[in-house]
Amino acid sequence: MKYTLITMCKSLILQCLPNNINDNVCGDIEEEYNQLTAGNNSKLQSNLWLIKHTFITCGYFIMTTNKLWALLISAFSMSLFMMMALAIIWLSNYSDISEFSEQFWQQFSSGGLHLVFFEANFWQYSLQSLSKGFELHLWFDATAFIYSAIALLIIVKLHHKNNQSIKQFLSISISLMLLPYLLGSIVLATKNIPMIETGPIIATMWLTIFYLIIPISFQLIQKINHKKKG
Amino acid sequence: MANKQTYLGEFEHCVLLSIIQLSENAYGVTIRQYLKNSIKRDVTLGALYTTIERLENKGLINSWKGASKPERGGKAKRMVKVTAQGLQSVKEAKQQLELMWKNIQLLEV
Repeated sequence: MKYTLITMCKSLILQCLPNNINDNVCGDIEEEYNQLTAGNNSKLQSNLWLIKHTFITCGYFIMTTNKLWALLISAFSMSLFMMMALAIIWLSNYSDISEFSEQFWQQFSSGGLHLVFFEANFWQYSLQSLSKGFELHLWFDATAFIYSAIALLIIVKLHHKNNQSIKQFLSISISLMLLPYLLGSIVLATKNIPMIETGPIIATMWLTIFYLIIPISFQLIQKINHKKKG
Repeated sequence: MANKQTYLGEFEHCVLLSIIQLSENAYGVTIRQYLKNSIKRDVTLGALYTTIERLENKGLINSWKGASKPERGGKAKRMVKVTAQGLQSVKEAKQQLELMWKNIQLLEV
């Protein structure tokens, strides 16, 4: 297939516009572009017109429909999902604790798990670990799995309740997702648990977010779309 | 609020008048060009099709698939025509505007 400017613009329009009008807009934009090319306009002018109209039209639909929200929610949830995945890989493989300061480990084992994301060594090690491959059991924690399944059931039930606002849905979903994290942080901060025994608690805290972030985002996007149509 | 949908927005009014003017040849490209040539309004196809969808949902226009041509990349035209309800709506909008303009000497400088 030959990739010309018009085919690229049409592909973009097909992706960004709703199905009921994208074919019409593609046909119209190609017809006008061909008229301009055949007329007195230079090729450059015609191409600039095509690019301008493609971007304005796509931008119009991205900004005026829920696609922008869907894009932002997807980007945020995917970022959090990846961060959690890297954190789990790091937690499962990390052996050389001397690369982090003693102060960091104290704060970490006292519930300040988020501090790991501000450490350059964490990013370096976990990204390097990606190429090594990892075992399947790393991604399974019975407590996190059972809790996530129950939370997901509640979230799906809430999603089907039409009278519930997006704010209510969001606050309940996020509370359910972060509850194990908050409880785990409190346990780590208040009880003097030896570092070697904190692994399962941390795994439950992180894996719950890892399991729930994508389904919650999916339900949220669906709820926003449903509200818009209603 | 029962008759809220029958009120015409300013741009909807312009699009309906363009469709009436273009008669049997009204579709995206010709409507856009008509608006540009007649009132110097360069609208995007996205904005135009959103208005066309809205007018059709209000029952003011009908649309159907026209001929597909090679210069359109094989895509069919979406031809549009004003319905009787659409014509009535335009007439009412004109009367309302004429009433509003009555006794206004704005153009006499």
